This record gives sequence, C-alpha cells and structure tokens, in this order.
Amino acid sequence: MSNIIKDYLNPEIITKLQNIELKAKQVIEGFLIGLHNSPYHGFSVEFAEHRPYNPGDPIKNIDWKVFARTNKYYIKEFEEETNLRAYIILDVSASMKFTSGTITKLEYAKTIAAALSYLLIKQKDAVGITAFNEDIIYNIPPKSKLSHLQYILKIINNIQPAKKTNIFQVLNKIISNIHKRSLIIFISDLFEEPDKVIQSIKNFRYSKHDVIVMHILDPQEVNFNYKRDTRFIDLETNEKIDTQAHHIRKEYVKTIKKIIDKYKIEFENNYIDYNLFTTDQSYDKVLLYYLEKRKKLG
Amino acid sequence: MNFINFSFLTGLILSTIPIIIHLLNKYKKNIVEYSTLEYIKKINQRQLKRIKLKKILLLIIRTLIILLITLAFARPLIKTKNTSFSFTNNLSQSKLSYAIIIDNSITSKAYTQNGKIINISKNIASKIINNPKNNGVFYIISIDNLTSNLKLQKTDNKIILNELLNSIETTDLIFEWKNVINFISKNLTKTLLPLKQIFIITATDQSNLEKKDITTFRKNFQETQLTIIKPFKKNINNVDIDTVIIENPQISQSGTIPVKAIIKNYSNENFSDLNIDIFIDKKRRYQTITNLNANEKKIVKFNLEIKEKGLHKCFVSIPDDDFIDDNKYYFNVSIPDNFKILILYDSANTNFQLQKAISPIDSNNLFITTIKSINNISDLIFEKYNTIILNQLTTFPPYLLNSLKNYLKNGNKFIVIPNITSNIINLNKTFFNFFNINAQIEQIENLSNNQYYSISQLINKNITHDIDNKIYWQNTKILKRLDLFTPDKNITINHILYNDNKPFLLSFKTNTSEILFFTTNFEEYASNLIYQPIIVPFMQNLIQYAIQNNSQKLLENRDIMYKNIFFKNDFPQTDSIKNENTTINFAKIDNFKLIPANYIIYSDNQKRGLSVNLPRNISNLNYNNKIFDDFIEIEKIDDINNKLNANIFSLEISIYLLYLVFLLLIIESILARE
Repeated sequence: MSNIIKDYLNPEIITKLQNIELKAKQVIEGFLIGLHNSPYHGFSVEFAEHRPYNPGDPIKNIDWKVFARTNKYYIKEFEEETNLRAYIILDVSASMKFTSGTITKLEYAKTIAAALSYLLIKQKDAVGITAFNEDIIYNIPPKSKLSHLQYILKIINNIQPAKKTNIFQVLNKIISNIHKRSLIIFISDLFEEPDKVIQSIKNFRYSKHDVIVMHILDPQEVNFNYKRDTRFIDLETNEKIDTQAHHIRKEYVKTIKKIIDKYKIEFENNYIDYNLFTTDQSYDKVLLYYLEKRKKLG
Repeated sequence: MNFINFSFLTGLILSTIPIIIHLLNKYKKNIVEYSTLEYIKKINQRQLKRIKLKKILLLIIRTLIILLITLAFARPLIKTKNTSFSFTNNLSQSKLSYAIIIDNSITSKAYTQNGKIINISKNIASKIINNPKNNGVFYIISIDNLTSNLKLQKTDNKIILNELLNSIETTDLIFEWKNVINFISKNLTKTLLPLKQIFIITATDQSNLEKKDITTFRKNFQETQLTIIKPFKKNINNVDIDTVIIENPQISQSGTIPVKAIIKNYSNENFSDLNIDIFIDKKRRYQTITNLNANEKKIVKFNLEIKEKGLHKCFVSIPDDDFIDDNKYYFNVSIPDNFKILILYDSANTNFQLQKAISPIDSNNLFITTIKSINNISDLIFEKYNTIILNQLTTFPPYLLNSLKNYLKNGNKFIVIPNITSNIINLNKTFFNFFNINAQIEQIENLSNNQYYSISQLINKNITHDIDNKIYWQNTKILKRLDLFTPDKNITINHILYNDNKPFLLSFKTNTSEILFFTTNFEEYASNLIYQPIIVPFMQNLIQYAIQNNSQKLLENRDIMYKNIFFKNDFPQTDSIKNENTTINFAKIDNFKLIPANYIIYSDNQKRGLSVNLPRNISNLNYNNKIFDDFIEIEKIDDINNKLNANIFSLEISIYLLYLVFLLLIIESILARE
C-alpha cells in the first residue's frame, strides 16, 4: 500500500475530517484502492428476474440455460436485498473518552462503525447500530437502503460519551431484540468485569449469531508509560488516586495483558472473533480483519 | 567533634535540596483523566506501602550523601578510645616518639587545691612517660628559665626523662603558642621515629592557647594524636568584677595606661591564686595571680602598654564557673594616630601659647604641629593636614580662600582662635571670607555706630545661660549676637563649653564642616588656664574628636553634652574616683551602639584625664573561652592514669565518610532503577 493510501487510513489524519460520512468514505475508498484481491465482489447479491438482452450488456450475465430453452438472449438480474443483517454495537461510555494523543477511543470506534456501515450498505447488506453505556442510547434496526446509511451516520456523528458501562445488562437487552441470525460487531474497550463481558457475548453465540469483538484501547492503556508522580481521575466515576505510575507500570501491564489473553482464549473457545485494536493503528487493519471474517460468513 | 575546615559546614544547607525536591514533587503532580481506575487501584493498594518506603529510603539516602560529602570536606575529627581505627596502629608494636609540651609560664605558678600547677603538670608528664604503652623516644618542650627561650630535650631513657621533668621550673613569661607551634614544627615534623602523640599540658582557661593554634597543630601533624591536658579543675563561684577604671584611654599614644579592676568575692569561701587576665583584641596580654578572701573587695592594678594605634577592644577576666558572662568586664582603649595640625598665624604675631596647649611638655607627641605664616604658604598644602587652626589672624589672603573652602567642603575641620583685638567687624569679615556670608553689623545698645565689643568684652558682660544653648547677655539672647557672625541659618551652635559661667568654646556645625570657635585667645588664659591639668587633655580631646571620623558622630549627637566639667579648684580628689553627677551619654565609637557610660574627669595634681567605663554587656563582643574539643581535665591526681588510659585522640574520618558515600551511591542507584 502506498504511503498516500496509508495516510488515507491513518486515524490521526482521518479524525481531522469533520463529516462522518466523509470519514467513512475516505476510509473505505482508501482501503479498497489499496486492496489487490478484493473480497468485495461476488457476495450478498441474489437472483431476481430475467430481462431481454440489449447490446452493450455484459455477455457474462447472459443466462445460457434460458437461451438453450427459448433460443433468446436473456440477462440474469440480481436481487438487491441481502440476507446479511449486521448489528454494530458501540460502547459510548465515558471511559471511551480517554486519549493519550489526539484521537479518543470513541472517535476511533465511531470511525470504524461509520466505515463498516458504509461498506455494508454499499454491499447491499442491512446494517443497524446500537449505542450504549449504562443503558441503550440509540437503537437503529438494520436496513440496507442507501438513505439508511445517512441516518446511521448522522446518529454516529451525534454520539457523545457519558456515564458508566453496563455491558452485561445492555447486551442481554439487545439480544432479546434480535430474532434473526445476524452478524454482531461489538466495539468497546471492555473495561468491565471480564467474566461478565465474556458471558454476555457468549449469549449471542448461543443464539446462533456471528460475533466479532473489536476491543479498542489507547496505547497508554496497554503500555502505561507514565513517568512522574501522577494523579489519575476516573472518567466514569470521577474517583481520584495518587500514585507513582512508573513504579506500578510493570504490574499494570502484566494485569492488562492477562485480561487481553483471557478475552482471546475465552472468545476463541466459543468461536467468537476477537481482536484488539489500539487507537494508533491504521483503519485498514480493522477493515481487513472485518472482511476476512465476513468472507468466512459467505 | 572538631572540624579542620569548619567553614565547609555551611554546605550542610545543600542537604535540604533532596527534601525540597521531594516536597515539590509531592505538590506538583501530573494529572491524568483515565478510563478506569479499577486495575490501578488494585495494584496501588499492593504497592503503595512499598513505594512510600522506597521513596523515604531514597530521600534519606540522598540527603545523607550530601550531608556526608559536606562533612567529609569539613574534615571532622572524632574522639575515640578504640585504637584499632588509628592510622598509626600498624606502628604500635614498633618504637614511636612522643612530645610533651609543659606550660611553665606564669600561670603555672598558681596553686590549686591539688598543689602548684607546674607540679601537677610535671606529675602528669611523669605518668605519661612511665606508661608502659608509651614506648619510645620522648621530647620534652618547655621554657628555659635561663635563656627565656623554648627548650627541647630528647631521650628514651625514662630515668633521665624524670630528671629532666624535675628540672623544669616556673617562669614569669607568657607561653606564646605561635612560637611553640613554630618551634615544634621546625624540630619535630621530621623525627626519626614516627611522632605518635603530642601532649600539651596547660591550664587551658588561663593560657593563650586558641583554636587556631590547635588547627595549626593539626595541619602540621596530621597523623599525630593531639592530647591537651588541663592539670586541674577548680570551681570558683560568685567572684565578680565590680568595675574597671582606665585612665587616659583615649589619648595615651604610648607609655602605660593604668587599669584598676575592682574585684569582689561574694561568696563565703576563700579563693587563692585567682588568675586575673586582661585580654586585648581577644588575646591574653596580661596576667596576675591574687588571693581573694570571703566577701573581700580588692583593687587589682595593671599597667597596659599598647603600641598599636586604633581602637582596642579589651576585657578583664576572672575565673567564675557559674556564669560565664559575669566574669568579664569589657572596655575599650583608643590609641590615636598622630594628628597633623597646621597653625596659621599673622607674621605680626609670634606668640604661640596655643602650641603649648596642643603640645605640652608632657604630651605623648599626639599632635604633629606645623606653624606657618599665612603670608608664606602655597594653596596646595591644606589637604595634608587633619585640621587647620587660624590662630589670631587679622587678615586672610584672598588667593587661599578657594583652597580653604574646598578643604571645608571635603568635611575637614578648622578651628578659629580670634585675635585679642578681634571685634565683630573682623569676625564678620572672617565669616564672609569663609562662608561667603555678608554679615549684617547689628547695632548693639549703648554702643555707637562704629563701636563693637570684642569677644572678651562680650564675655566680661553679665551673661547668663542655660544648658539648651540659650545664652543671654543683658537679657538679650546671645544667639542674636552670634547671628551677627553667622546669619546663615544653616550654621548652628552645636555645643558650648563654659568656664565660670562664661562661654569658652563654641562649636558650629555647617552643612559640611565643623568649626570650633574659642571665645577668647589663649593669651587671656595663659597665666591661669593653659597649664591647668584639664585644659590640655580636654583640648586634645576636642581636637582629636574634631578630626577623627568618629568625632563627627560625637558632635552630631545632641545627647552629648559636656556637663559639669570641673576646673581648677573643683576637681574631685583622687579618692572620689566616681561621681554620679558625671554620668553622661557616651559617643558612638566604631560599631558600638550608643551606650551609657561614666565619663569622669579627675585630677590629683599629677594625673589627669578621662576615664571611660563601658558596661560589660556589649553583645557584639563574644569571647568564647571554650575552644577545645578534646582535652583531658584532671580533677584529682589519681585521675591521671584513668584519663590517659582512655587514650583519647582525634581521628580524621573523612575517608570513611567518603567510603560510606560510595556505598550509599550504589544503594541509591539500585533503588532508583527499580
């Protein structure tokens, strides 16, 4: 991928764009240009009807079986609807507000959500979005119309981080509302009791949904590279704590790694796709990861 | 603990740096809004105690490092009984050399409850020599009675050593420690056998041995133990100096200054062989020994000889174990410099009674006077003199006026002594010349237009006065008369000296200068005043004060009034040395504050002068007698062995401190890296 395209997918550059649609478009197009063997073609379109051949139509679309029966050229047209129903579940709790650089976790997550929505709808898939913190804030059911995309992007754009997370309760609520088998894309920092998080996501799996977990963290949340005496203020509870960060760094990094490993193992055991993304990572990695998963779904 | 480089201890302030940094860090925190404190909290709880402990540990170590480095540079010496630390320990089995300095100066003549000090000192020396641990060559240093020089005797034969000790006698000399140090530095720094120990046996509170002497000792003999032994300890209580009287402290230039110390024993105990010392500029210069019975009051006389010019801070000291501050009586003696005085006269006048006043036959060449005719001088010579006296001039050459004005502008003083025929016109003229004052001749009643009183005529009139500078003549303020001479309001009368209720000397103060103006010439007083004992020292004092920088302060100070100055038959007799009426405020001298003192003029037909008794509580003089850190004080003869066996010696521990610093640095780096 050329450097220019890389720039298109650089979170720091993308975040400078004001319009969420533009962001999504930028990400997706930048991504697609760079892709050599695109998995974009050949899925999510089904046969709809035949129509007479007109000069100029691609020959590969001529239905030869009909030609054999009727000795007339008919073109095979495809249904624009899709069976894939995707739910993007986005954590918008106050903890997502954290940033050690220029881009918050929420901005990163929002851009991913927007880009995925754009991609899904462009592929004629149905996409819905649910934003939550303690409770569900927005719940947009999946649709595949182009106008729906505008709506989703508008909602994403309006999302503001606030309050605590309650993943367990919220996911249980969401799961009860999804009846058809769907693709669940769960975007969160997963800062809650890991066992509860795992349990609630596992419930989706039990309901036969395909689940992709995108674990978003800030690089500092992983590396904890603070040097001086530091006062930490909890973004969700406003609680304060004074510590010598460099003294506890080693143990903190160990704890976080342990939690990430736990997520990895537990999700893998339950056929849930899990991946950790830090906000300094380029968006193409996220999209590539999604498309690979999507390809598996067929 | 003693320090070779005491001044380095100021560096201890640096040890506060880690504490300051610690405190700054405590209040200067990095604030981070973080997504969740869940994990930090858990870890912090576990780590907090360890972190705090480590932090405090690091702080202590860092402070200690700076502290120890500073101490190492100050080069401390500690007292130790443990010889295993000794640098010379490896030599303990081999032969060594020892030096014993026995102070057989005048102080050693004193008796204590244990006997004569010299005998105790010899006894101590004998114990040192006969101590089996002290094996080697001994050097005995004392003053030779015959030659009055320091004597060094050396032998390793203990029998001869004891004989040598017995031959040491007391002298009437003072032990000059500077000479002693030079002497032993010259003779003992390169001994054949290593010099293990120097014993100094001296009554420390009576001898001149000072801290700087000890420091010099240490510098010259770095690897030698230095033990100072005080041969007795005696408690003397309730002995006080009532007063000290100093004659002619301000004007004696050479010769002797008699000092009388009145001491009193307020206790019911008899004290024998009390040491009375006079310290001049912190140095013990005079000593005497006296007995003082219970409740006895005694006058002890000293004759001070001070040749160095300038102000000398002195005190009389007696031993008193109860109150350190109570046994010193401070005073000061000023040995003035020669003052150059230029006396200008008219060629017509050749009578120099004035010179007699300034340089009487029995004076100590206080003033160097130069007499020149006013018509025979260049305008460049004024600045060479401390003061100029215009003696009975009738005219003043115009070409000298500018030089004289400049001389006055520079703050110099001059004295005007009018001519016997001086009258107001002449004086007006004089002031016009000097101050550019166009004096108005004022009509005085009963006088025709061109008739004026001479000064002497004025004085002979009925003049009344009071002390506040208000002088009346025939019910008219004489100030008004004086205005004739000094219509410039900036010229004020500073003080007036009276003789038989008549103004005798007026002091004027101008913006820049001081003029002493005698109301008469000395011819009038030549027969009856000039040789009176008071006039000469008084005039000398006035002139001296007028010239010296200090004098300006003296004269500026309105509190200073010369009250009750006794003339002729009014002198108190010798016995009444103190008269309450004579108390005045004394002037600022050097950096002393204005302090009350007794100012006495007295005469017994032979002696005359001013006595100044400054009070003893002069806070800025701090004579600390406790200058030794490592000395043995012998209370009983039997104690000698015990005290010496304790083998107290000083050890320089800088190197150990630096080892410790190195160790601490390693620990610090390990802790800090964690």
